[in-house]
Amino acid sequence: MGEEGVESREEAKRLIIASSLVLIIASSLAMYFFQDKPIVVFSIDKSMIGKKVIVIGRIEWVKQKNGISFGEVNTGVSKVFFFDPNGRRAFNGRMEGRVGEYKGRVELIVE
Amino acid sequence: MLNELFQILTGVLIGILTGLVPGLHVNTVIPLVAPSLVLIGIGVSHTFFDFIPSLLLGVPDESSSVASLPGHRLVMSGDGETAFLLSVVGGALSVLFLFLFLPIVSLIVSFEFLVKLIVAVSLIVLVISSENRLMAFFIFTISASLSLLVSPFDAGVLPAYFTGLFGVPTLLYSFLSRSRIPPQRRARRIKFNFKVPLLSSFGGLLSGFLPGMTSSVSAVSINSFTEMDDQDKVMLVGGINTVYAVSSVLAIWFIGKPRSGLAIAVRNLGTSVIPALFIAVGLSAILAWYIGPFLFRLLSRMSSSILNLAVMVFILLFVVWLYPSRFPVFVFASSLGMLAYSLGLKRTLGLGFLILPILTV
Repeated sequence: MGEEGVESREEAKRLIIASSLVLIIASSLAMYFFQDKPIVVFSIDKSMIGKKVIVIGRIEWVKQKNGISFGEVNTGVSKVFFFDPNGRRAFNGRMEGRVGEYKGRVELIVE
Repeated sequence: MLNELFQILTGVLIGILTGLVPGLHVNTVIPLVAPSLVLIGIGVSHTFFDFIPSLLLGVPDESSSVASLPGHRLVMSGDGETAFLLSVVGGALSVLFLFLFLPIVSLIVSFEFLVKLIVAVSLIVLVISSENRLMAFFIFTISASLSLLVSPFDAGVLPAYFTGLFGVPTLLYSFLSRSRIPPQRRARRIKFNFKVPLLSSFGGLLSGFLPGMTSSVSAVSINSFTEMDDQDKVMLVGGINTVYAVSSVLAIWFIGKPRSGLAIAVRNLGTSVIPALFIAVGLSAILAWYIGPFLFRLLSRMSSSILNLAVMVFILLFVVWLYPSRFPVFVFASSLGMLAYSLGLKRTLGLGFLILPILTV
């Protein structure tokens, strides 16, 4: 193993393209098949930290302060507080629906 | 999925620009970008492209070549492009080999005393192998004693210390000696042994998983135990830097702790970060291979004296602005680095500042 190597630029180029393609293709496939798919939850606990979740329920209220949104969704099981659904902290966060709507939907990454 | 790939590619392109800015550390850029896979692209791509300014800046003149770094010696002989391409190959292959060492390094990390023993032995070898052993021991002791006054792990201490120890002496001596970058040859022959990326993969993983075990300490330890020429050393450093960037993030899942500014910034982004790291390495390696030599030749034609002076002023303002309380550390490290440089000794002896706390904690 130790004495094997590469002798020319052409050989090194082929090696780097091959190894880069292996990394890109294998990792893209892994990302596609094992990507974090959001799960629908009715309450949030510590075991979900870092996971993508969807909370469906009545959007009780939404407030904005210093450009950050805060809000609360009543799922019927618990009241889930959220903040900044479109900003930095809850990356990929997205809220669909209006205040008072029963089937409002908030997609979040739990922090 | 396409959104994720686009984020990584955007990060890789930004990383090319940040990597080319001399003295700009990736931790300086991270707070400016929202936590997303863009950061992964920047963090990885930066490690490939920052090799270009590190090769071109601070190239010494012939008389002081003994104390120069391996990359600078290759630039002086006209083989800077070869050095850069070797660092690219080192980065990509080392990451590929990383999977071989992940289980064993995860195990080694749990036996901390073993790693301390390796570091201690490599240090003794470093001092003994110096021509002027007495001065080598003096520089090591002085640097180690600084750690009794200031912890190297306090915020801003290490960037100030490393910039002073490695950056200032090369830039200053290069500026004073009015050295010029000699014409650079096209890299026609890239020759290397697979032993080097295997070693850099192992060393980079240790750096990524162990607190205080920086890339420099890893490189010095490996160098002490193996015979390497300048080309091998450049490849080793390129590999260790990239593997460190990747494994310091992987540490979140393997040892439960983030080990770098990048890792802290992306730790809440979920497991999509893991494949994103490897995609970023693949994209960065291909881009570095094809556009890196062009960028290297372009920058090598710039007047090195003016560039060295400009970077020195930039570094000084950078330290004063970002870490004003660390300025004394910066001055101390610069003096120590210049002393080692003028005596023809390796500046890695100044790593005593970092190594003593690793051995005693």
